[in-house]
Amino acid sequence: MPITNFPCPTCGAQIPFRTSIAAYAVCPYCRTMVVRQDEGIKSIGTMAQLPDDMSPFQIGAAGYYKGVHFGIVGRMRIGWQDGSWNEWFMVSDDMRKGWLAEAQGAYAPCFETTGDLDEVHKGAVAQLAARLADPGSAAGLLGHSIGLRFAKYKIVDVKQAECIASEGELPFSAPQGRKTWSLDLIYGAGQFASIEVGDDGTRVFEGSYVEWNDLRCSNYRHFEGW
Amino acid sequence: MTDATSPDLPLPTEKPAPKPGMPFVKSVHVFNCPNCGGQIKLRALGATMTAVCANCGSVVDVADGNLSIIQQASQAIRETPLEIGMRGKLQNTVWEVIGYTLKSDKTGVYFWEEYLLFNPYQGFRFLVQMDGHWSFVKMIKQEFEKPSFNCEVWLDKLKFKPFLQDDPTVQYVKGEFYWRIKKGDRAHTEDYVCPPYMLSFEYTEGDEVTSMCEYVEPDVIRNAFQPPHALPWRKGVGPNQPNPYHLGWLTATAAVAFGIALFIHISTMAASHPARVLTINETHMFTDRSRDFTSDPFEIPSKTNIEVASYAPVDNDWAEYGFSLVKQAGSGEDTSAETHNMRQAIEYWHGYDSDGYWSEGGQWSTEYFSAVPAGTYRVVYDVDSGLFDKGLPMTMDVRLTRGTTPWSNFFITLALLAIWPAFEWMQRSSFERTRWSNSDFAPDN
Repeated sequence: MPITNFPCPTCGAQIPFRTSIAAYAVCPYCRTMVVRQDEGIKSIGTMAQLPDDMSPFQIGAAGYYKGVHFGIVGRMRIGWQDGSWNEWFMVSDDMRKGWLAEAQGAYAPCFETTGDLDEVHKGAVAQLAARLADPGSAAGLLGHSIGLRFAKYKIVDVKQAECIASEGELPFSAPQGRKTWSLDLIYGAGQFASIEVGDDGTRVFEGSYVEWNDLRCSNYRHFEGW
Repeated sequence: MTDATSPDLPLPTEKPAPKPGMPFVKSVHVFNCPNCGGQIKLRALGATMTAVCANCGSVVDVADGNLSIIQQASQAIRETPLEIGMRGKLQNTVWEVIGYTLKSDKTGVYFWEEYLLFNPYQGFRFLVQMDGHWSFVKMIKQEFEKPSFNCEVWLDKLKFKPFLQDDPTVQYVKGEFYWRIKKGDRAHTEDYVCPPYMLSFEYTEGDEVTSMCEYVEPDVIRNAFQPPHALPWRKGVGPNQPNPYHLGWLTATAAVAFGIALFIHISTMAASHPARVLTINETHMFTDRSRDFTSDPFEIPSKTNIEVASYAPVDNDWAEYGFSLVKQAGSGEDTSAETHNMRQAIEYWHGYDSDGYWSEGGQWSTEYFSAVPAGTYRVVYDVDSGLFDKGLPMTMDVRLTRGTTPWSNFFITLALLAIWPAFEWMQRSSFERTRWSNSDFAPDN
């Protein structure tokens, strides 16, 4: 099935839906946020302008992670107190939802494993999320360990994150100002996990840090002089 | 990618990357300095948090659009060995210098430079330069238990020894950085070395960064970046500078020396034809003390050495043999008479004391008459022993063999051949001593 296009309710331009996984999208022309419904799409507001950056990725770029081909269909630009990073929404050929985190030139593709956790680990994650209800206790989580599917990860970063802007297709509505707690965890040599605690629930992602060359990207951005 | 597995995902498939006519994205972004109005160039837009105005030296926060000044212009712009904007190829990737930090140790005596390198695809690296020693640095995402600083750290089967801990201070900045930075910033660092690598832990408030540093020869930096001015002269030994007196090379030269010595020894043995010239197996009594005995004559056909292998059945006792090798006048090529003398003491003591069993000496002794010319010889010998004091007889057992190859020759050859490896070894040790003299620790000393 080819790309499904829906006319933008605001400007009438075609909004492409490359994947059936995404429920939300941003019109590439007028930045109207739309949600997909039974037979069509509905406007839910306007998205802020994405600040320009030197990211090598773009919507439509593709690559490989652990031998599985994936395509990038959307992005959130996330800001926090001391900076910002990109979360590229990607869909793999085996139809898994994932995010390629791109921060300070480090790349960490990861896939959602929330549903794969057993009850014990789910409980631990829920406890962690509960502790974040009190923002004062957040810093105290640094260095703690938590068991996820296959390993015990160490919490190395706890940030209060806010969506600056988003583009393309996304699995949930990500308007400007959407606030979450974002926890980075590592295990062993470059194994990466992320726990996102927001008003709409807690999500767990597991993956690993990779080098640019490992991703074997195609259709990426080219920069003047590089 | 096949349609069967993902029918609704017509994602881009692999194609040779740059499509013809594909637009290039601007790689340098410019904004105006809120202090002096001059142009500030950003090379890593999106990641950069802090930029320093190249005109007035103000440190500007560029994280959001507000461009607030973190630090007013406080010092003149300095020239540095590598300048912002220079590019060089290291480890198969082109890197652009985008940031520069001058740091000092907590005493303010030692200074070093840290260059921030950027490639839009590969991310960030650092080059660190101190006393003309360069390291290429990559942050690693590795989980460590915070090591206590007197223990070794293992990583990828490499043993890193603790080297130095410090509280460095930022003394000067220019360019751009993906973190908030200003003059006066402090951190705590702990460095572990395993040349050519150094594992560095940096702790700042709420953050810790682990980096792997690899030594780079100054020539490599010079060739990569081709700076217009000379790079700082290399002084002393860098913490992670590889020892040029390589252990493998040393082992190899020592092994070759051993091999040569052994070869010489074996070929000499093969060329020589040892032959017994005399056997003395006689029982003597105290009455034989201070008497001289004379053996039957024997022939030495050509110049050779003579091994004297002696045995005395002494047990907590001693024996002493005297030998004179007397050449008969008129025999051999050189017809003069000639005498060689030798005395052999054989002692064997043993017993028990508070430390247990002990023993000293033995019942055998081997010595050599060396360079004995051809001729007819007799051996004049005498014998004495502690056994005689007790009125006991003693059987002396002596074998004289010509043309043997003594092992002492082997060891002398080996010692001569080992001079060079030993010299190398001393150079190597001296290099390591210089390295570790800069460390908080001096292991193996």
